[in-house]
Amino acid sequence: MSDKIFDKIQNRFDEIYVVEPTNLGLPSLTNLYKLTTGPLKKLPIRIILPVSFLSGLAIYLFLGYLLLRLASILQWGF
Amino acid sequence: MMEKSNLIFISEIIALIIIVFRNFLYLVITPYKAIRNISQHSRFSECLVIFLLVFLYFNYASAIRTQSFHPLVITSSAIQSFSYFILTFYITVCFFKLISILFNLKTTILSLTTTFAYSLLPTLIWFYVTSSLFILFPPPRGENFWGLSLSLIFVVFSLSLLLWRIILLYLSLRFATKASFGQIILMILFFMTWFLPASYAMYFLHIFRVPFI
Repeated sequence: MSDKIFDKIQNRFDEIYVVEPTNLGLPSLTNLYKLTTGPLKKLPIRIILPVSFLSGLAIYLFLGYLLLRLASILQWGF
Repeated sequence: MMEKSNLIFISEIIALIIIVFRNFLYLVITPYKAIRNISQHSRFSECLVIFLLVFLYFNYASAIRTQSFHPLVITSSAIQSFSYFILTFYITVCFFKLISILFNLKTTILSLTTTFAYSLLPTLIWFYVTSSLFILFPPPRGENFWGLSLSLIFVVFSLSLLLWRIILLYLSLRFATKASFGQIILMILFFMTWFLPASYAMYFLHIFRVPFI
């Protein structure tokens, strides 16, 4: 392997391992963390949008028409 | 004819703007890689482009509030809001720098500044969209199907950007400070202990209704 390719691979590894892999102490917790954060690394909108939509529906079911007031307060927030 | 140094300066500015918008795109597609790259390679000049976008927003918001749509008028309230934003931003950066020292983590002000500046993208989008919606669909809305639907869409949109903002804040701290998951959670909790009362105070002092962070 030429030095150039080796340097390229070395730089790539340095970049990837700039932070240590997360370890939460318990293997099950670490696995849960990886399972949750994994899909968020690429196109997190795939996860964020359904979660937000379900949360919005839950807020509506919980607050009812007070959701209108919440939206108004937020819209006055700029 | 334009001098060569002027041409180089203009081309550098254009390149800078392209880099910032390319990074914005990566923050949507691959936020993990984007923040990792920003923490390692970004320059302070990129933050200046983002701060300029924030400054333009405050002028836009001021024009909407005062209903004086003149593109060249820079109001004192816009300058005041921008000054408070810069102050809040740097207090936040310094706070995380100090807390990193307490946790014995190696970090630089530049790395924190660049990652935090880029992570303002969801905030910027939210404020620009909310201001524009204020003209298009002004509140309050009626208690009917359309009023409820629009409110639900706006709340879902706000929640989406909030979640994205939280993810970017977490990644910024992860790559700028190289802290562990537990340390980041503690850092954010410490941050909230002063930031939430500060936001409340800013609301009462008529500085920000929703904190620009």
